This record gives sequence, structure tokens and C-alpha cells, in this order.
Amino acid sequence: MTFGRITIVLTVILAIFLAFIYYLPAMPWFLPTAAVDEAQGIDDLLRLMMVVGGGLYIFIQGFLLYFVWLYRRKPEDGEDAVGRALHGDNRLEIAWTVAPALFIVVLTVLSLRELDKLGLNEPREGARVIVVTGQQFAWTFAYPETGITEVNTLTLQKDVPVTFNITAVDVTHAFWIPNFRIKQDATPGFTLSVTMTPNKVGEFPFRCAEFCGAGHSSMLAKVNVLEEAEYLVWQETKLAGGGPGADANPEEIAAYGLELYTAQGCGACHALEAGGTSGAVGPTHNGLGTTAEQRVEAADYTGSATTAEEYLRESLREPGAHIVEGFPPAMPPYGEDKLPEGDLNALVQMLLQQK
Amino acid sequence: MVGHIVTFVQHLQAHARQLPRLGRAGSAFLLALLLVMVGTGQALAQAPEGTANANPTLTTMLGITMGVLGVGLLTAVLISFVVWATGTRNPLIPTDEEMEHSFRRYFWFSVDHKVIGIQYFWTSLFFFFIGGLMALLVRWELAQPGLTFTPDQYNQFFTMHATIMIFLFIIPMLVGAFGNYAVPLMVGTFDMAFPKLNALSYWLVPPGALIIMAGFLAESGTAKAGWTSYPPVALQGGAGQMLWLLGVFVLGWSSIVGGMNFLVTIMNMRTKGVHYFRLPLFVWAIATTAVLAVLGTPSLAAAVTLQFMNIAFGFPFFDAAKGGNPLMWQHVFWFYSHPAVYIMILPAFGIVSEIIPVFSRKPLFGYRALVYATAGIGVLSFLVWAHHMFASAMFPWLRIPFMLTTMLIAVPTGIKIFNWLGTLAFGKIRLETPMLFSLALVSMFVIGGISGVFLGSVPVDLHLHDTYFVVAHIHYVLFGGSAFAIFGGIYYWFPKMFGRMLNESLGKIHFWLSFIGFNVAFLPMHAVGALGMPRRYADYDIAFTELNLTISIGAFLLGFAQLILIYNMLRAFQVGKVAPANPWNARTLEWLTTSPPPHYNFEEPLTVDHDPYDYGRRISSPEALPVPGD
Ligand code: HEM
Ligand SMILES: [Cu+2]
Repeated sequence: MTFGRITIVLTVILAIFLAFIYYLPAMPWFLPTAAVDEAQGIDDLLRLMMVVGGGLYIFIQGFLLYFVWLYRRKPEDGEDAVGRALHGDNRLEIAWTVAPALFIVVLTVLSLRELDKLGLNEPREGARVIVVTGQQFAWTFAYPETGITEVNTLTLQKDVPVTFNITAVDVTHAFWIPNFRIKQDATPGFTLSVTMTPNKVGEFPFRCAEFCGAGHSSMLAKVNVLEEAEYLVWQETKLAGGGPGADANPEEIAAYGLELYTAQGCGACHALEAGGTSGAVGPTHNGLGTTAEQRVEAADYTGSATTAEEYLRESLREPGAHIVEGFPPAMPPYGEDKLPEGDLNALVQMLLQQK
Repeated sequence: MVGHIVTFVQHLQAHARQLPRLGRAGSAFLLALLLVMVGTGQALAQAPEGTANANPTLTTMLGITMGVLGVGLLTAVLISFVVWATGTRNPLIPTDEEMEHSFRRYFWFSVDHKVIGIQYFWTSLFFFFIGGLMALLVRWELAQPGLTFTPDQYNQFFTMHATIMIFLFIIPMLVGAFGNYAVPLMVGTFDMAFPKLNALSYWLVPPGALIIMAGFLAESGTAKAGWTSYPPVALQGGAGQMLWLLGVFVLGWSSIVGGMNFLVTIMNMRTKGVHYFRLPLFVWAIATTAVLAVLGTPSLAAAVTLQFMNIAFGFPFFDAAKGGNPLMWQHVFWFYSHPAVYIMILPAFGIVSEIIPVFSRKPLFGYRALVYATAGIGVLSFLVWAHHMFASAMFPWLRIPFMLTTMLIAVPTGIKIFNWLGTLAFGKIRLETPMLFSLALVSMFVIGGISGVFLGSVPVDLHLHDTYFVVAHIHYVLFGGSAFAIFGGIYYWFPKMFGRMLNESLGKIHFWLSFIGFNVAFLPMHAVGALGMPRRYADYDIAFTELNLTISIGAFLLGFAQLILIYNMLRAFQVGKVAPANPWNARTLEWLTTSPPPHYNFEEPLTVDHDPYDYGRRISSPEALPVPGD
């Protein structure tokens, strides 16, 4: 093959490859659909980098294979054949220092511009504030404007910018919604603000992205992006306060308890068939109605409850009072702020029914 | 053992006059050992175990005992070393002359750099398989969604996998085994500058390893906060975490001691005619690595010491609840650990820079450019650490300077790649196993370098950080880079080290299976990460099932391929061809002596009058190589 023909073949391969790479991010098996305004720029940058990087790779790889094939030792060369005694070439050295440096400069400048455009950490006009708090192993979302607090469900309104004030209480976690791209560690003692504007209605996964212990991979939340009307409905319902009324029957209370169980993310650490959870950080909740009775009677019981019901209340309000043998003292206390008396009662009633 | 005691007693009888001195040294030794062991046992027993530890179980006691034994061994090593280094003859330690040709020398303090290199070699190779086992457990768990092990066990697997691979395989193999074995030979001298210190640097490894491994027996298990051990979550780790910190401290110490020794050796022990620009690139790489180890490792030592004090004695350093700063750990840790990734790759580049010219039968293209690029990477590697923290709680504006330096470091890396390509051009390329692995490094490392540039761009990294994309990046540079270079190095230097040739066909099978398994395992990780799977997840969304299954299959193929390497080595000892002095027709100095070399390496001092890679300048055959002294 002549050099010319090699060039043509390589160019064609390169073109096909680059076209492939260019469309890769657009395919559902490379990036999840973008759901905030900020994602577009990041995706474009990644796409550009893939094309530049892919081109560079093909270029280097092409030469590598070509040289290995062209300059392989042939049988007629003999055992001791040596190559040409080239020691280097300063012009080439300069060329392959400067050319990649130019690529790098371009990519860096584009990255800087994109970062600036994102303006992630600056306050933004008309943005709603949501305080995001990570705790082993659940996310709390508080809406200071309305006083609503939700666990493991984040509800947003389409096209309204939100400033997330991100922090944590125990260890470092990370705020990450893959469809939103941007990630921010939640570190105790620090609050970092990130502003984004959701632009797609739908349900998206929220995954803790900084290793935080045994429940890390179950520290998941759900993001609901709603149209304005639905958002307002959601807000109304929340403000009206959930939960069955005072005259509710035990089944209704237990059903509400199960709802809370899911909403509070208890299942990240505990197993409960009724709730379809299988967490293994803490003891199982299957049959807890019975085990709770046995716990208070056991010789090694360290708390102050005397009945199963008191035991369950104590376990939620002050988990440190008694640690079940074989488990870490990892459970956070659930005080009034997170679990008002009525909610606590519903949860306890539901758990007592697990026989 | 009994034999040694008998010799010891005979020795005491024969030198009765020395008895008082030995007696005093001996009791001081025992006392110190006892104190240290009791102290460690005490500290470990009181560690916040996670569970209420009023009555520790048998395994916890065993774990503590093993940790204590590790610390005891460490003390024994240190004290014996002091006694020995100050010149007191220790009858328990036979001299190298007494042990010459005896297999025993591999199990004692030996000062011969070749023996130490071989000690490092087998130790690291052993840990490569333990670390590999951990990796396969991780991939077993991830092959399907749902849990097979508990998340707690899973966290121990990936933490120990990375810890073992980094601190007990890649670093000791590249620097300890190849560095020790090859550097003195390559500079034409008879040993390292400080042979006793060299023995110390090896003998710190087994206690360090034992201490880390002791966690397997502790009730709350080994360390489980990842190899990066970020507090505050790491502070919840209990005994396993404390053992990890202690073990890493000891291994870091070994690196510092070794690093000093390499620097002095390379500066002062070069034989006549080997000026700096006649040093083979591998020697330059080890020199740069040594600088990184000496300057960077103290930072790691400080970090682990602070975290140890935080856990053991309740100091507030990294504990936000007590007013400490969790972010400080990240800075101090990465100030070491970014240079450490170059400790893991520069010697690998060095090996490839040896192998490519030899098998292309051509001088290394752009020797000086490669030297400057190596040094440049060394300097820059201290200025990029916060690129691991783009999504952390540090000031957002700090991302900008660290993005600039990170992007910059790709330039010297590129220079290396292009010079290797330049070396291939116009050569007479032989494709034996060492060369195949080196070419694979060039190809695979480029992928890792390019994905590194993606990660260096802040906006892109905010999406990719802490996902499987980063795991893919790590493995393209560390497996496709460092580990492939290690395999190349094994096929290249095994004949020199053990006097036997490895089988070529088995080598090629090992290569191809590794290459395929590697890509099946790690290429899909880029996609699964970009799609949204975070790293260090014991369980995952069912959407990622197919990709994860593919990855696991690749991983098991890769793991299986490594058994061929072991078989090939064992086979070589039985039936392998006896290696000539210079099987590859290379021109660096280690090939001027027999395989394996005699005790002091060269029969007489060398005078060198040629560059390390001057193929083509004269006829390249062993006879045409400069004779010692010419
Ligand atoms: C072109 C050169 C390179 C660049 C620009 C680069 C860039 C980066 C960046 C920005 C990260 C952080 C990613 C994140 O956590 O989000 C990273 C991670 C990492 N890099 Fe590189 N890298 C390069 C070469 C290397 C080399 C040569 C090695 C080792 C041989 C290496 C090993 C690692 C490791 C181990 C991590 C992950 C550490 C962890 O979090 O566990 N990189 N790299
Ligand atoms: Cu780095």
C-alpha cells in the first residue's frame, strides 16, 4: 500500500468513528436524558471532548498499528537486523508538544467559559430555595418558603430555578441527579449552594454519590418535576398536612404508617416485606411486633421501655438507648421536627402489627 | 527454627565474652516489644468497634492478636535493624556470605539488592492475587442486581482491593522489585548505596501488610471506607480502620526509606562513563519517583497519623461534630495521593521505554525529551491534587487553578506517547511478549489519558465524578498502564532475575486473554458511569444489569488469564530454557553480566563508553557490546 492509500483508508475510518462518537451522548445508552437547562452546555462540552479525544486516539492508534505492521522484522532481515539509528528530531518534538497543547488550551478555555456560564454558585433572580440535608441514609428536602419538609422525595416545578443549599449532618454525602448532571458534595459543617433550572416534567432518580457507609447504595431519592398546576396541588396537599384524622380506624392509621415508612426511607437500612424493602444495615422489621416484646424482656436490654409499644417509640426517638446485638449504632434519632407525634404513632402502630 | 536456636546457643557459648552485651540488648529488646504489643492491644481493644464491645468475640480477639503480632514484628524489625546497623553482630542474622547460594537468604535480612528485589517480587505477586480475589468478589456481587454479600462486606472488598493493589502490588512491584533489582545493575554498580536501609525498606512491608490484613479477623471487619478513607465516614470504622491507618503508615515509611536510597544510589554510585544522560529511562523514572515518594509520603503519614489520633484518642481533627474539618483530610491525602498515581505510572513508562527500543532495534527516539517530560510530570504532579475535589465543599473558585494545572499535565504525557511512536518508526520490530505488553500500554494508556482530560474539565467532571467513569479511567491507567508494564517487565527481566526463559507461547496466550478480558471489563464502565451509576455501590438500578454482567464476565476472564502467568513461571523453574546473559540483545548494563548475576553483579568494575540504546551505531550482537573495562 502506498502512503496515499493508507491516508485515505485512515481518514475514512476516522470519519466513521468520529461520527459514531459524536452521536454517542445523544443515545440513551451513554447519557441519561438532560432535564435541566444547565445540562445542555455540559453535554455539548463532553461531546466535543469525545470527538477531539476520539480523533486523537484513532490518530495515535493508527500510527501505532501502522508502524508495527510496516516495520515488523521480516524473515529476510535476519536475527540481528537493526533499525535506522535515529536519535530524535527537535522539530518533531516541538510539533508534538505544541499541537496537543493547542488542543488542551482550546478545551480548557471552553471549559472555563462553560463553568462561568453555569454560574452554579451565584445567587439567581427568582430562584426558590430548597435545603438539602444528607444523613445516613436518607435525604431531607426542606422548603423554607412554605415550611414543607419531605424525606427522599424532591418535588420541583418546571422552569422555575431552584437554589439547593446542600449540607449534611453526619458524614459526607453527595447530591446527584444524573439527569441534572451537576454534583455537589454534602459535607457536615459546610453549606454549598447550587442553582439549576429543571426543564422536563417527569420522575428522575437521585443517587448519593459520595461514599457514606453501609447504606450508601440504598441512599436513593426520587425527583418529581411537575407543571405549575400540579406543583401547586402538591403544595396544597402538603400544607394541609397528611395523615388520617383523629377518628381514623387502626387500618387507616397503619396504612398511613406504611406510607411514612416508605417516605422516610426506613427501608434503606431495614427489611420489611409489607413495604417491599430489604435494607440490611439495621435489624429486620419483619415480625417486629413479636420481637419488640422479646427485646424489652431480654436480660441484656439497656433501655427504659416496658412494653413493645414503648420500645418502638424509644427506638425511633432515642435509638441509642438500646442497640440490638450485632448491629452498628447507625440509626439517627427521629425527633419531633422530623416525625411529629401523630406520624410517630402511625409508624409504631404499623410496626406493632408486623407479627 | 530449632536449628537456629541451636546455632544461637552454640554461638553464645563460643563468644561467652560478648554475653553481657547481648543480654542487655536482648532484654531491652524484649521489654520494648512487650510494651508496644500491650499498648497496641489496649488501643485496639478500646477502639469504637461499631457494635457495643463489652464482650469481644473470639474473632475480634484473634484480629487484635494478629494486629498486635504485626506491630510486634514491626518492632522486632526496627530493633534488629538498629542493632545490626550499628554494627553489633546479631547471631540470628547470618551474613550474606554465610548464606550465599542458600535458599535461606530470601527469608532473612539480606543486603544484596538482587535478593531484596526478589523478596519484593514474590511478596507483591502474592498480594496481586489477594487483591485480584477481592476484585472478583466485587464483580461477583455486581454481576446481577440485588445483594449476595451484605453491603458492609462489599465495602470491605472494594476497600481492600484498592489498598492491596496500590500499596502492596503496584508500588512495591515497580519500585521495590524492579527498581531494586535493575537500578544498581543499570548504573553498573555492585549494590545500592545503603544496603542495610534497603533491607529495612523491604522488611517494613510484611508487618505493614499483616497489620492491614488483621482487619479480616476483627469483628467489625477490615477498613471499609475506600482506599481514600474520607472522614467522617472513615471515623466510624473501628478497629479495622485503625489497623488500616497503622499499616499504611508503615508501608509509607518503607517508601520513604527506599526513595532516599534510590536517590543516593543514582547520584553517587554510577560507574565510570555513566553520566546522567547515559542513564536508561527506567533509572530516570525511578529517580523521579523517589523524589515524589520522599516529598509526598510524609504528607500521607501526617494524614493517617491525624486520623488515627482522631479515632483512637478522640482528637477533633476531621470530626465536624467536634469542630474539626473533614475537608482537610482530602487536601492532605491528595497532596500525597496524586503524586502517588505518578509513582505508579512513571516506572511503568520507564519499563516501556526500555522494552520498545530493544524490540524495535533502534535508539530511543527523543531521549532527552523523555527525560524532561518525566521530570516535568514529577513537578506538575504536586500541583494538581484538588482535581479530585471539584465536587467537594472547597471554595468553588479553587477549581479553576486546579483545572489549568491538570490540563497542563496531559502535555508531557503526550510527549512520551509520541516519542514511543517515533521509536517504532523505521525499526525492525520483534513482537515478543514484553513488546506486546508495552505496545498494549501505549494503546490503553492513551485512553486513560484522554478520559483524564475529560475529568480535568470541571463542568464535565461535575457529572462524571464519583461514577464508574472514574473507575474506568483509573483502570485504563493503572491496569492498562502500570499492570501491563509490570507484565512486560516480568517477561523482560525474569530471565535475568532467575536465569530461566519464560515460554513465549504461554506468554502470548496470557497477553491476548489479558488484553481482551481487560477491555471487556473496563470499556463498558465508561458508559455505565456516564449513564448514572455511582462508584462504591453494592447494589444498582436494574437498568444497568447488562453492562454490569458484561463487566463481570470480562473481569473473570482477566482474572483467569493471570493464572497462566503463574503457570508459566512455575514451569520455567522446572523445564524453562536456561537464559543466556543477554537473551534480548539489549544494550543496557544489566545484560553485561550473567543471568542471574553473581553476588556483586559484575566481575570487575565497568567503564561505559556508549549510550544505553545505541542500536544501529555498531553491529548489535552480544560480542560487539563493550567489554568491561574497554
Ligand atoms: C493525562 C493525565 C491525567 C489526567 C488529566 C488525569 C485526571 C484525573 C482527574 C481529573 C481525576 C479525578 C476524577 C474524579 O474523581 O472526578 C482523576 C482520578 C484518578 N486518576 Fe487520573 N489523570 C491522569 C492520569 C492518571 C494517571 C497516569 C494515573 C495513574 C497511574 C491516574 C490515576 C487516577 C486515579 C487512581 C484516580 C482516582 C482516584 C480515586 O478517587 O480513587 N490518572 N484523574
Ligand atoms: Cu489525580
